[in-house]
Amino acid sequence: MKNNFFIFISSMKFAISVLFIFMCMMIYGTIIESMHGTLYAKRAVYHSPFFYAIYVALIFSLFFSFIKRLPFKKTLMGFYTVHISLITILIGAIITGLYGLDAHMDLPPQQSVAEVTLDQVALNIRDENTNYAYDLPTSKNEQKLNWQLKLDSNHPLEVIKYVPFAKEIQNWISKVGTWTTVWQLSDGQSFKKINLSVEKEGIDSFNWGPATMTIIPMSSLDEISKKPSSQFANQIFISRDEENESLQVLLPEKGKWNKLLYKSGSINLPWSGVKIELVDEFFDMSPIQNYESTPPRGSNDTNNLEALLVRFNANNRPLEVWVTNQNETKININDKDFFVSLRPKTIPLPFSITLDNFRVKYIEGTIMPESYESFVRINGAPELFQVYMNHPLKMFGHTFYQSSYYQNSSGEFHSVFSVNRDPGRFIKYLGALFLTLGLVLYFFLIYREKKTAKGSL
Amino acid sequence: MRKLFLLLSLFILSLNSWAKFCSDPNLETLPSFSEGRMQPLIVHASKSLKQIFGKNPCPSFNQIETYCLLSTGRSEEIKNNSNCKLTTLVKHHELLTMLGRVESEIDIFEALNFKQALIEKYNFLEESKNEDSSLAQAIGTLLNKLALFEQIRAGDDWKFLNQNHTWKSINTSNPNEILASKSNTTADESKRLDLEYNYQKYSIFALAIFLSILGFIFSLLSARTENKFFSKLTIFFFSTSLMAELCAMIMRTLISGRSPITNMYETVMLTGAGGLLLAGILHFALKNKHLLPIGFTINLVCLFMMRFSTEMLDGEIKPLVPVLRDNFWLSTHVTTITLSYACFALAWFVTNYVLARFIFKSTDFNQTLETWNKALRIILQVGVVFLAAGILLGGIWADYSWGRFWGWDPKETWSLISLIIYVIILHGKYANWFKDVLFTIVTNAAFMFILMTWFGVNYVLSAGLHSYGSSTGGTSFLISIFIFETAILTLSLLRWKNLKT
Repeated sequence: MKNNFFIFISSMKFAISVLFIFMCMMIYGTIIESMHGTLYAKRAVYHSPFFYAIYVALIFSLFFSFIKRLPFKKTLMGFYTVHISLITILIGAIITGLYGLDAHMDLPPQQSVAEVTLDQVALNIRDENTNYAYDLPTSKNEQKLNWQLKLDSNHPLEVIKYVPFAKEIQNWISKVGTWTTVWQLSDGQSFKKINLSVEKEGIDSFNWGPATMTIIPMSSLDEISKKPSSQFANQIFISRDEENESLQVLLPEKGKWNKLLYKSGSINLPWSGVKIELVDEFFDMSPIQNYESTPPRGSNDTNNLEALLVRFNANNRPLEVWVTNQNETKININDKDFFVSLRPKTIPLPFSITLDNFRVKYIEGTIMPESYESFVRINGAPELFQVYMNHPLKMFGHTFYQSSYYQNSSGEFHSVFSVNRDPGRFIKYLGALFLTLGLVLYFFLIYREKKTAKGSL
Repeated sequence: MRKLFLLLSLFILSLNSWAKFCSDPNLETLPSFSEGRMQPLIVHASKSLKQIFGKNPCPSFNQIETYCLLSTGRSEEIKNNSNCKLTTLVKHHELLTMLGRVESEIDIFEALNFKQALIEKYNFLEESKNEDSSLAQAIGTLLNKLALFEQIRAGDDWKFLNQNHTWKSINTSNPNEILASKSNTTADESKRLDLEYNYQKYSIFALAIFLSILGFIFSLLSARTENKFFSKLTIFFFSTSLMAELCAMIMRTLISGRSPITNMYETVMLTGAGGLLLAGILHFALKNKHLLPIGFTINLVCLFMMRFSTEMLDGEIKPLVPVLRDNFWLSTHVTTITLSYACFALAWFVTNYVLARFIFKSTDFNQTLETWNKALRIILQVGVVFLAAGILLGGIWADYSWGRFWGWDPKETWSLISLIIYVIILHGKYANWFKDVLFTIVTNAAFMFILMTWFGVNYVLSAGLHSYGSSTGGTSFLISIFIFETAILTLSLLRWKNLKT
């Protein structure tokens, strides 16, 4: 039995099958990436346990095919070296994957930063005194957590589930006195549906590009229409006209107000091809947000929506609330306020970095950067270190690379570093060296063998 | 009164000189400023016209004249010329509807009337962060064209070098100063200008095409007839066409000041030359006379692609993104990878040739097949060494530039997929799974993975860090090759099954 297992695992068939699966996984990974973005592909394929299992299978296959060709033969030197080097590289890759750090760092000007940010997300909860942080799992699918958190002795919070790639969906509940309008917005190419929902005399608005649509009470509409429209640039106001059983719409047009009595059809906004249309109206019904797991659309990672469902007691009644990574949510547990948010996990550094100066040089006559560089201080010391493309800063086992930059709303440059610690680096380089040597040796030996074969003929 | 007369005569004089200015033959080599570097005006002018109109919109004038007439406030002359069509291409359906048009050729002056509306719409779409951004993109492209057109008409697109060695728009100057501007360059700059002018004017790649065609013919004759004279001619054309390409590459390097390995155009250029060189080496090493015609074919295919599929392969010398600047590892990485592509391309062309012969006349084919498969195996082994080395060098470069050895970027991943495919084939050959024509067939199919790595990642998947080397129009190219491939492979498999039974 043992013997059979050895034959199987050292066989070419096993090796090729593992390689084939490895290859298919990678093809799948690249397709997933172009459809759903890099982060999703990493979670689904490259950082998944199955992928690591393939590494291990490959190592086994390489190792046993090596054992099979013992005792040592001089003509197989190339074979030995190549296969051992591949094992070395794979072990290096596993060590990097498990113990390495791949993070980034956002440096605002003149502020000391002593932490790096990861892809992984953490649940942050704070009250006025304390910060609590809990790491969330790195998966692509919805995770049932059922965590019972005791924030302080008498404010328990239950974390029900985490949706790392979420989509907002709507459920309706009945709520007496509310009036909800459903609008279809069209920009000439695509359509979007939104709800505006108000209780009596309430206000609700929606920002759509430069335009703002606001539902207001009739009385406010009359007041606004008396003011010059230039005070309300790009604003559209809507009220319910009870007498005429229709809507009143106020929109600016050529420096004046255009007041419409609206029942149905589409209204053209002052951008070519941009239209709004009322498609539905509900009384005593209100939409509530819910989140479901869905792969993100498109390969852009920047706008990924994440959601977490928590349950707690508010006024002795259990309440379920969704927390997203879009903004901080205030919850009230037994008369005490907590602020809950989903934020990228951070790891403290043993030292701090301050961005003293950031410089970007553009290609003359264009807005394309030719080069950009940061000057930083370590622990506030006067010495300046220059970090720029292909010239990283190495500090206490971490390496800092100038990866990008951006301008904040007040026009100041933030520098973005990628931060890296790779304990597998040496092993991988060693493997690469061996692989090169092995390949040269392999072909040299083949060549020599052929030559001697010819000579003996 | 005298003063007025003097002014008037000066004005007429200057008008006269502007009138002749545009037909001055010296304009072509004048220094102009574009994309961060000094270029001969002919290069800049043809690029600007191409960007707006797709070609020279006015057959009655040459490119420089058209550009000059537009730049010096004489666009009426072009507008009134019945041969001239100042139209730009708009393909996006919604955008055409916005402009109230059906046909996609739009008069540039008409389009200018819509500029304000287009800007407003563009801002709206950008701010509302629409998921489907094709309309915004189409509007953006059109607005860029309009902006460039207005810039040209204002004389701002054309920068000349003044006496203080700074760049100025021509609208601040007079014809004599502009025409004299070549004397303001340093000796070095002047040399570079002439070099680029010659590179543009005497297309050396066209010469290489000519030499390669002759080489192909004589290598074929030499393989068929065993005539010594033909084989000497083959060697002559082999070395001259390689020399011509080397020459062009050196010129490109001198013009751009960097190694010619930073975009798709340049990798195709290198692969063509590499494939021919490799075929030449193996021709002597293996004493296989059929390799050289195949090598010439690869070279010709690459040269034709560079010349005719300009939408997919952009031959312009553009500034580099920061990460690609002065980097030793990048140069070695790309060169090694490109050489591996050349090996696999050679293997692919060989298999196509062998399979075509196998399909159409395969009586007593085993002997020939055996010889070819031996050659193929060696080519694949060399290719695998280059590809593995290239991937490792890429890892070292990535570690040096981005801080990680491996990051599962699509291009990285696909190069590993290709490597594994060829490793599987070589192992399968060693284990004797792929016998006879089956080995040829799998080698043929494996090249599709190289094409996916080389073009598909940029054109089909188009995500990831390596997409800076990308451009458009490649998908149809890939699809047509895949269809051709499927046909060849199906026919070969049918034939193989036929022979077996």
